Amino acid sequence: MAAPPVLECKQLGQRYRARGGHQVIFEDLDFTIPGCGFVSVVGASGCGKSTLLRLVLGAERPWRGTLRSNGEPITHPDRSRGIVFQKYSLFPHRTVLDNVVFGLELTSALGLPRWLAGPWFRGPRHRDFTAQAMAQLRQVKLDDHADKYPHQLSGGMQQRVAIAQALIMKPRILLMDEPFGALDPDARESLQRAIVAAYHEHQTTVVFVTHDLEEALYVGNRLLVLGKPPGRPSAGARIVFDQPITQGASRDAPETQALLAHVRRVGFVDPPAT
Amino acid sequence: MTRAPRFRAIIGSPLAPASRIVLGALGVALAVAAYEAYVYGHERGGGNPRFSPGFGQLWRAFGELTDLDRRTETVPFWVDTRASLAILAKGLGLGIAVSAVTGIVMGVFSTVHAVFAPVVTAIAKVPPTAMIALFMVVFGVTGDTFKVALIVFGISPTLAIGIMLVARAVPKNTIVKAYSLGASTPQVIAKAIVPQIIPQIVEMIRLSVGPAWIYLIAAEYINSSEGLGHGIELSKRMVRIDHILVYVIWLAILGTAIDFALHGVSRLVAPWSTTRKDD
Repeated sequence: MAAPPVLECKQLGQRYRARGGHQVIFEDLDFTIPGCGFVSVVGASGCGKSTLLRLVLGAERPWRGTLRSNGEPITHPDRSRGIVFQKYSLFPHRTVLDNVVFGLELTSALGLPRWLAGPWFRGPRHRDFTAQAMAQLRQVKLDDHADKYPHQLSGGMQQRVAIAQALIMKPRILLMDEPFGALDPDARESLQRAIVAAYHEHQTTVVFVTHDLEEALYVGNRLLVLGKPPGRPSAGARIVFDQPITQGASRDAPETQALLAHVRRVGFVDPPAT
Repeated sequence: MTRAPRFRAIIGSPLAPASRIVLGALGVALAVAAYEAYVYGHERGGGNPRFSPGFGQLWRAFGELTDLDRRTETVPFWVDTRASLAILAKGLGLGIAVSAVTGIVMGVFSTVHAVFAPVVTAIAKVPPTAMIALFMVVFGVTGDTFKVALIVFGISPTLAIGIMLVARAVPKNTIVKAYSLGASTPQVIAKAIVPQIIPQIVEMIRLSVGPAWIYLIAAEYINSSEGLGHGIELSKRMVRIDHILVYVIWLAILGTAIDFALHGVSRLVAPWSTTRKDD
């Protein structure tokens, strides 16, 4: 018997309370991620991309349908699914190193806050945790900044720490919610390369949500597009495109351009330029 | 030859640390000068000098107050100070403990919030001095329990609501993040939420020290055998304005020292927040 899929999403729908009833965000989402893969999810704003991530994470309850990870229903956020948000991904009261150690530290019995625990009262496993965290930070080239606090770093560096913080727990799925949306173009490109490299190194499943279609095409090896049915703006979004794509394809290649044109035709609306 | 352009200061321009110290000293000098001007004017106008003691007289008054009382072998001024600080510490300690626990629990759990937030908000609207009569009956007129109770009642509801609000304002992302790294609910509270809001909690404690003094002095006026409020009350009976002013200056010094100490606590406990600029 084949192993259960990493993520299985059946007839998934979500709606929120709105004035005088409910607003359906999306419905009838069906997709399966069988094993390791880098799935880019794009859609115009309001299509429920972030809602989908929160459901996969287990941070909210679906209205309809089921979500399973490795055959188990998803009921709450746990360490098998990591997340990187666009903002507020790091703990402001912890240094870079302590942010990365956070998850490991929770597994030790002495889960005391740093100022209570202090360097003199750390469990024997802590040295091991620190070594692991430093190795993880070296991978994202931030080992020189281990003792800084998040607010002392640039936005791009903060997101690198957030990625290290999530990956150190070796999650089955790494969820990313517009992680590079607030960065300048240079930092953005370098992080896109970094996340693809991290994907190859860790062989984990990545679900990457963005509203930038070109970014989605560059980082992913499968593209999933959410869109509202044409002419019915109040209806819930659905999957309008779901196909494997070539990861790291050149932006100017004719195939990429054709794909972009096709996705825009099937229902993806580019956000207004900011 | 070109001259360097003169920059115009706008609102929000930072000030050099040295200028801040000089200007702060200037403020103190202005306050002293204003008081001396009052003393001079009052005496020139034929006013009773008892009501306008100069700084020399205040210094002599301080000497009188800190004189050893032969009968009791104690210095009443220090006895008063110690008594007041002890009650203040008890009231603040108990009040902070009560409001930190209720505030954090209300801020973290939405069910607890739904149950208690309206009640606590209503209690916070009761002027604490309206409770003096009740507390004197319930906790006894003698003894310090009613003073401690008044301080606790005076600061806790507002402090609890403040702590609740900052706990609720913790970015949801950091909470979800902590869960996704494997934290249990107690761990999320102890390691993700509370440490983030500690600087704000200390800040609110600093703000509630002022009200705590108000209720303490009010309670000591009414009924006490010692304490700074009692000392002021005695000086009033003997129409010793100079003594009252010494007590007032002493209260200002004590309050400033407590404020400084709490600021130090904040820097010690949350070194990350003092280097932090707005983001």
